[in-house]
Order: sequence, then structure tokens, then C-alpha cells
Amino acid sequence: MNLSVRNRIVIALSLVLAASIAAGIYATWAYARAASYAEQARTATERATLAALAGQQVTRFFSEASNLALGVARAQESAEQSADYGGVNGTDLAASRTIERLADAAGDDTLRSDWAELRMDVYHWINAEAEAGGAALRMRQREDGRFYASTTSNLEPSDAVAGLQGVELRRKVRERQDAYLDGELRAIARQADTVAASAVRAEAEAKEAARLGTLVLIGLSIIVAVSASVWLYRSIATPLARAREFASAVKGGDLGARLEQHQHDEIGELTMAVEEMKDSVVARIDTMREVAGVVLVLTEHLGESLVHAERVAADQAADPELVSDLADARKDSAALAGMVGQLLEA
Amino acid sequence: MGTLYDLCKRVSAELEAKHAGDPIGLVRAKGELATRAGFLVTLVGPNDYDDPGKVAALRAAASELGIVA
Repeated sequence: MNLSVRNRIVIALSLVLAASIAAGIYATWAYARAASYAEQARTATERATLAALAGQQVTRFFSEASNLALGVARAQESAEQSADYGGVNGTDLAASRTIERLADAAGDDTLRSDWAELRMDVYHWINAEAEAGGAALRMRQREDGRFYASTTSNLEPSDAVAGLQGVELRRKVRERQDAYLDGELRAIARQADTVAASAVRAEAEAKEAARLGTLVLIGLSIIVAVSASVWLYRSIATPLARAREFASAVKGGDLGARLEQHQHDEIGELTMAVEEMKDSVVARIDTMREVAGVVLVLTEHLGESLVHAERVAADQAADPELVSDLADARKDSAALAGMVGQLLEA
Repeated sequence: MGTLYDLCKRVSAELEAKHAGDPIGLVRAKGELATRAGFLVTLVGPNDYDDPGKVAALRAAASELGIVA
């Protein structure tokens, strides 16, 4: 792959950055998912708690309403019984508020409407018992939906209990109470418990998955970072090490050393320039050697010529000064040849 | 172009083979070749003009040194 060093650095940093960003995004998503399950569990637990509280309050309401109905049936109208009306009213109010919250939390309007109908039937039963017992007070509904004790009644019972009286009315009302408690409130509580338990498990699994996934991604990021660093290091250090070995070989006198170069980047350009420099230096050295060889040969030829001239001058009884000069020139020539030889051997 | 350069390379290679292991002898032989040819063989480049006189002189010098080029 012919990539410049700059591009390699950019790629390596991009890989590391991408791996880190991926790990960060995954961790954020995974922990948000776990938080979402935690919120589901919290909501479901709250709903279950509300359903349990509503169950208690509705049970108490039914109990107090039954006591009141039994009391008025025996015509025990008294100050104590008026207090019972107030007590039922208070319990009704508390239970109604809880059921309102529960209906909102569960998004269940039937719960609200069934409760309104059931209360109407319970108060209708109390009124029926009061009438049978000859009591003067009746339950009456105000425009805001709340009930209070009065001398007249305006209640309109549901079709389920309309027309019933005495024991049948009591049994029907109790059936409807049980159905509301078991069929609706406790069903909501059970469902909420199931959802909460499921959400808690899902939250734990999501947290574990997030932890493992994050660890894996961090591990992958480290592997990517190390791999990119090694790749970057090798693409730079390896050719530089070859260049160092090449320089050492040339320094040691191996002028035939070659620098194998396969990279087409800044490092490749540098090593190619180093090799061209070496070739240029070697070419100059070759020329110097050739010149030295020429000097050596010419000096040797000159020396031979001087020896011959010296001999001729001596044979012809030439001027002694000429003979002496020829002898000196021959010695100088021999000295020059010796120095060239020493230079070549060095 | 290139004939003179190639001839220089061949003659140099022959000389190096002939004086393998004798660097001083090789230098002396190259000096002898240059002296006889009349020019420095190592300064001839691949793009230099193929001077017929130089080619002939180099062939003659190589022949005198016992090299067939």
C-alpha cells in the first residue's frame, strides 16, 4: 500500500479515534438502556404499591360500609352512627384519591368508572338497609361526585343491583366488591409486580451487557491503537533501520552495498536519495582511482624514461650537472610513484 | 548514444575480472587504459556523444591490454 507517512499517521489516529468514539457511543447507549429498564421497574413498583394501598383502602371502605349498612338496618340511628357516615365518607375519599392516581398510572379508565359505579351500589345498599330499618338518613351524591348523609337520596344504582333488595342486594354488592378487589386491583398489583421483576432483571442484564460490551470495545480500541502504532512504527522504523545498516556497510568500506527500497513515501524518497548520494560518491571515488592509476602509470613511465636518460647521459659523458638533475628527477619520480601506491593501499 | 558508455562498462568489467583480488593492479590497469585511450573511462556517461575517435582509441587500448571488447 503506497501511503505517505502523513497519511499513515492520519489513518492511525482516525482508527484510534473511531474506535474510542464507538466505545463511547456504545457505552452511552447501553447504560441509557439500563436506565430505561430501571425507570420501568420504578414505575411498575410504584404502580404495585399504589394498587396495594388502594386494595387496603377499598377493603376498609367496604368494611366500614358494611358496618354502617348493618347498623342502619337495625335502625340504630344515633350520634355514633352519624359518625359512621363520616367515617365511611372519609375512607371513601382516601380510596378514591388513591384509585385516581392508580388509574392515571396504569392508564386504566375502567378502574375509575368501575369504582364510581361500585361506590354508587354500596351507598345504594346502605340506603336500602336504612329504608328497611326505618332509619332517617340516606346517602346522597353531590355534583362533584362525593357522597354525604342526607334525609333524601338521589342515587342511581347500576343495572347489576337495580331492583334487588335485602339479602340478594347484599350478596350482589359483596360479589361486586370481591370482583373489584380481586379482578381489578389485585390483577393490577400482580401485573405491576411481574413487570417490575422483569424490568429489574432486564436492568441487571442490560448493565452486565453494557459493562461487558464496554470492556470489549475498550479492549478492541486498545488493540486498534496498538496495531496502528505498530503498523506506523514498522512503516517508519524498518526502512530507517535498513538505511542505518546500509550507511554502516558503506562506512565499513562496502561500496557495493545496496539499499533495497520498496516504499513510495517520504521514507522511500529519503532512502533513495541516500543511495543516489552513495552512488555519486562511489563514482567520484572510481574516477579518483582511475586518475591515481593514470598518475601511477605515468610516474612509472617517467621513472623508466629518466633511468634511460640518465644512463645515456652517463655513457656520453654529458654535463655532470645534467646527470645529477636526471638522477634527482628519477628519485622524485620514484617517490611520487611510492606515494601514489601508498594512497591506493590506504 | 550509449555505444561508448557500454564499451567503457564492458572494458571496465573485463579489467575488474582480470584483476580480481588485486586492487592495486586493477588501479594500475585502469590508469594504463586511460593513458592509452587518452580519456578517463569513468567520466563517460550513458548520454555522452559516441565519439568514433574515442571508441576506436578505447578498443585499441583494450586490445593492447589483452582485453577483447
